[in-house]
Amino acid sequence: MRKRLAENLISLAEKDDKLVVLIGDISHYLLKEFEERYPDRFYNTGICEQSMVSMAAGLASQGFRPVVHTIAPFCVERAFEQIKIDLCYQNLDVTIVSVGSSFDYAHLGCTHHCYEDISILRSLPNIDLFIPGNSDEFTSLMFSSWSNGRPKYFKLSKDEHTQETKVKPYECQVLNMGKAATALFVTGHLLQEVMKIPNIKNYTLVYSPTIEPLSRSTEDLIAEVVRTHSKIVTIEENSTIGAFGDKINDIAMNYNHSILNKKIGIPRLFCDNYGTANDHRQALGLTWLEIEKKL
Amino acid sequence: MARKASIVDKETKEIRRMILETSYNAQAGHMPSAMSIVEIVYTIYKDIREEDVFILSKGHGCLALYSVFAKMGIIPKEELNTFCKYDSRLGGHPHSGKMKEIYSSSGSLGHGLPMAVGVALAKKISNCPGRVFCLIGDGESNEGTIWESFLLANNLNLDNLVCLVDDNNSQIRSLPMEAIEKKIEQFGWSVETCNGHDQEEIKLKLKKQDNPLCLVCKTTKGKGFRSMEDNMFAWHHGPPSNDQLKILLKELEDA
Repeated sequence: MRKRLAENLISLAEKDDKLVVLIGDISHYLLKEFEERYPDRFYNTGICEQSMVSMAAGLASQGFRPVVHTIAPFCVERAFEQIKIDLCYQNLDVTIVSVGSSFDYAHLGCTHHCYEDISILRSLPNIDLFIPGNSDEFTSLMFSSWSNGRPKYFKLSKDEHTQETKVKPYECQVLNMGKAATALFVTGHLLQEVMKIPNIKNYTLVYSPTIEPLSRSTEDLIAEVVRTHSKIVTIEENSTIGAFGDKINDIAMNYNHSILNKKIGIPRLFCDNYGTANDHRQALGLTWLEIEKKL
Repeated sequence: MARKASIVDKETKEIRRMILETSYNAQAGHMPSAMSIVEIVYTIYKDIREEDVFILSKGHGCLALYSVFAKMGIIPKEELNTFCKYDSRLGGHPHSGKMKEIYSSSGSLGHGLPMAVGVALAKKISNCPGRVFCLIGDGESNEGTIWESFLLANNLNLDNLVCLVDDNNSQIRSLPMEAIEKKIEQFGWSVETCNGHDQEEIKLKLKKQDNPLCLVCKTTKGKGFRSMEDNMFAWHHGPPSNDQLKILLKELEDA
């Protein structure tokens, strides 16, 4: 998906002379073509993520549409107050695109992990949150939401699913209506693991690369799925506290539907082993075999 | 350090009176911080052009901003009576969503200058005229983002950016920013110093720039009121009582 970021930025910049890229000293080679084509719209602001986000706010206040790009913990957790005050409070059109999703940088340790980004950003008003499951979804979501006048966050993972989806921002997609009493809600690339479950067609399967906000009709649909199933399982590669699973719970409660939700994700702990992202998925049960056991 | 002196200028006397009365009426507000920036804010707003931007990064000084707005007819004077009320446009810290004359929301320190860097960069990219003024406090310069911004502005050659420092010694009790001029100069900025209560000197020092310009304004916290100048920490965000208001107003009138 990171490669697709470079392509998307060029495509968007061709049509929109207000697009400006700010990077926190990563992806230089990836964005070399952008820099060569648009040198006055490309700034490597160095390793000062808080100031980079504030700068983006300043640019947006003058009508530019900045894209801020760096590793998730640094642009979200370190710059959280800048996102809150400079972007969300002032409702400025800035797009943040992170890499290093959850434990993609597993071998670098917990300083480079970021499973809490969606949880903490979900607590803020005025920011759209997307977890594309693959590059095509990323392009579709980024292009469709471009210049909508609000702050936006895209969490890009290294892994992608290969399923055919037709995603639209602020909507979910029902991939399957099953006969079982359990419905699955999935976000991000873990759709690939879920689709490996042998009898997946028995289950109702709802996929949503948008976390916030969801349209009213989408929330209606989700509430109806909750109402008509006795058990819900939410599956995500985020913290289980405050992210996608809790979004589904919140919708159910807002519609006065009782919900039994088994939240599958990353528990409240530091994943302080190294290795690969797959090692962590194995350890945390984020594989189709382990997911199947919980259905 | 600016010498202690009474305020003789009629206009800034009036602004100070508005600050006092507004703080008393609302029983809120950071008066001494507002008193130290009256002349800086008034000088900027008297000359501000359509294409210029002013960011009050030390948002707790907003009583000075609102009172200058009232003095200049940007808001009706009566609106000061709404200060800090539930549906007021004039909060305890300024919010850009309330009125277009407030260019940036501030309150948490260290946000305004990096935002001003972005505004100045936007003007450069789009070849727009105008200067970007950002007022920070000496205490605020404890924040790391201030120094990141000094570094960035120099690196980006932002010769349309002016950082004004309200150097009122507010940080002497914790992390003093000694010889701030030399430090900023080391970051590649042009640095000037002035008496921050002398409008003519501020105006003169702001006349031209070839680099990012920092104007270190030597000011006195609580300027114009002996009790505040002598006890700036006691007064930091304390509104006056009725008796104190009478004494402070008399001091202002007798000056």
